Amino acid sequence: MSAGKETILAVLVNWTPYILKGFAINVFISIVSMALATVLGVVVGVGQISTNRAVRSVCWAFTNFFRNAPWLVLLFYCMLLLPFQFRVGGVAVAIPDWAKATLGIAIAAAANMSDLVRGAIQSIPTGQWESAESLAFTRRQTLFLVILPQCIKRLLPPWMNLYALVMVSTPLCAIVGVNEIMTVAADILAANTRHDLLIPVYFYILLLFFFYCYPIARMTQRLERRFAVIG
Amino acid sequence: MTESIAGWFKHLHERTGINLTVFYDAFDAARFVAGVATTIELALICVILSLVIGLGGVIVQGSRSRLLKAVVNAYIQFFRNTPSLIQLYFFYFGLGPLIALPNASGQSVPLVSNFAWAAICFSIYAGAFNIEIFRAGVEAVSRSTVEAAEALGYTRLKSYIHVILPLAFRYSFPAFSNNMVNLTKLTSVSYAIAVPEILYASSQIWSDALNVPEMMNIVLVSYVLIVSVFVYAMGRIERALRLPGVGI
Amino acid sequence: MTMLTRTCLRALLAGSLALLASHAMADAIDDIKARGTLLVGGKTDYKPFGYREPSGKVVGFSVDLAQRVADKLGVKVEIVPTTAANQLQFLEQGKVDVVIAAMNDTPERRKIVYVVEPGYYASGASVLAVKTARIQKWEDLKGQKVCAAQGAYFNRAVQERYGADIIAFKAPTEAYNALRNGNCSAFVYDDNTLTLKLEEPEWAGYEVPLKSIMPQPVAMAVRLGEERFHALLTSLSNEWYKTGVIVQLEDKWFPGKKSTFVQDMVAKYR
Repeated sequence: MSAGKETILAVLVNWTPYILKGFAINVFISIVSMALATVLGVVVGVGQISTNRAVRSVCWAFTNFFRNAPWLVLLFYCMLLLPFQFRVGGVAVAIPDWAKATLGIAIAAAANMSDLVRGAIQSIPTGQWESAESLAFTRRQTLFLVILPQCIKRLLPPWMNLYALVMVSTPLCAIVGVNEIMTVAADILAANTRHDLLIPVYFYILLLFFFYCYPIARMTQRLERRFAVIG
Repeated sequence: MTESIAGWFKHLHERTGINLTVFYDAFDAARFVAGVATTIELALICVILSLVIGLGGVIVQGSRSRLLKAVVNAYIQFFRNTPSLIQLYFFYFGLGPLIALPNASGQSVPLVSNFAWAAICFSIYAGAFNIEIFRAGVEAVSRSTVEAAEALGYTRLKSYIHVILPLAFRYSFPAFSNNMVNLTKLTSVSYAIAVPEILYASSQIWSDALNVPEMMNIVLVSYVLIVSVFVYAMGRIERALRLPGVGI
Repeated sequence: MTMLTRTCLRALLAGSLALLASHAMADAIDDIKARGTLLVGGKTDYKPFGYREPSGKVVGFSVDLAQRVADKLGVKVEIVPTTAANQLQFLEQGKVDVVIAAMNDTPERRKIVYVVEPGYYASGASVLAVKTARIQKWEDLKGQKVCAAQGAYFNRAVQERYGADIIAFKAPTEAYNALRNGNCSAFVYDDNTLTLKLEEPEWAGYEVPLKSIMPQPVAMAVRLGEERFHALLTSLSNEWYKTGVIVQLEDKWFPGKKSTFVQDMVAKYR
């Protein structure tokens, strides 16, 4: 019995380099997605409190529409309906599969981010807006020089939470055909026809994600406690 | 009436090439409607199960036993920090064949169907978040209320059920409803283990009828509609639960 | 509007106009020759038409034919992995130049792509069933859970005609796994592949008991409107029957099998 278990461990150790390469793709997708989502989320979030009614409605519609769509469906949509290449001038620029998947996740996360940003802006006391106005700041100056810098601190814990959510959603990309850790798992299971590898392989991958995301969760908790408003 | 609707969509297909078979093909329409029903069914079951897990878990977390607290904490941290898709594969392909019994013709058949595994897996996942959410709500209940319940002779369990949890539930309702909305969206992931929900039904349809863009749009709109209805329902529940003097 | 906003808007407009600029598609053959590579949509998990050797190289019946087409055009060949569910989409979008993936020729598919006649082989649907389920005719599948691969053209028919409860997975590997686990009592798939699967020792308790239904030729396909390319492939296909290439390939990939389809086609194109 123990001899059998050892060979499973040996198999896992042998495949570890390949597994880590697959995991690295997930990490890469999560980072690029999060960067895109942050930028887009801030833009749309600020747009939600704009004085211009058209901008406000468009941003509100974007946020609520994409918050109500499942992430997997958005992934499918981007994957199937975005072209695989587009021509700029006479040059064909190829859009690889992982880029389309990353965009899908980014849009979904941006909708979340936009609501977080809006919430953070609205939680800044109105006194800040009023004092800035009395000092002859324009609305745009107030936003960028006074309000948003204060939002950064209170946005950090939910932003890190969102990143953990993005990271944990990256395996969905395998369903739409991107090569990442789930593809690696399928390859390993196909290459070794032994049936008892299923549980160890999936458990191994679960542990990988756990050891990546848990420290982030702990850091988030600590930041939340430090920035918590007492009262 | 239905014949004329079907006829109009068939005409649309012939004229513009926009192929919306769900409206004029009986088989596809049946498949799609069954998919919608499955999604709603799965979402409701998961909401209820995860609510039970959340409430139960927060009661266990409040116990004096350090071992119980550690177990609940480990469960929460593990299921929150790992992908639900991999959890699903682990349960369905990994654990599934282990819980099997031979059927009438001697084949070893798993006792738990893919729908059931999806319900279990998603409920456990959302339940972990719920425990955290309810714990924050419990901590928001003022100490004096808890002491008053103690003074009136409530046992710990009874004070949870009659005094603390009702208040905690109301305090944590916004976060709870947010989690439930995410749970409804999460049901689409069960596509990966062939649960016949909306996305799966649509992928079958577009494989046969070769109308990918039309079906993708229908899937997107359907899900947004269902989730929006759910968000509205949670808003109504929140209003119905309001107590004078309590809440934000 | 500030200068910055105006410049950004102008750049955005220019960019979108460039994107919308018509897709002036040159002929497929010109594109292929200019690129120097023939992009073929093929299967990499479908024995014996297209599958990977342990070294990772893709080999198979369809792969050999793809090589011959590339040789005729004087370019290299590259197999782009596809599945039944996305092969036509890839072709439509232009991601591949031709689909040589043991794709069954059906009327629905002919509406979307330009199928090359004659097809280069034929297959139908059959099931891989666990022996204890004692499936002896197609009607026995009624109410049974039957695994399938998404995108197969016979899934719907099996469900409608015989009342099977089809559970379709994204990849055939997942369907095989589900069959092994007992999640279904049979797997409906291409008869050629299933018969080959039986030769593997771990499938000893399984059988392919049913006669194939819905036999359809498998054929190559190109985009609608590609007349030159289609004509080239048609003449190649005729040549392959005349010069015995198909018979050779059948011997190589289906040793011992002499299908009536191939014999009929050879007689027809002699």
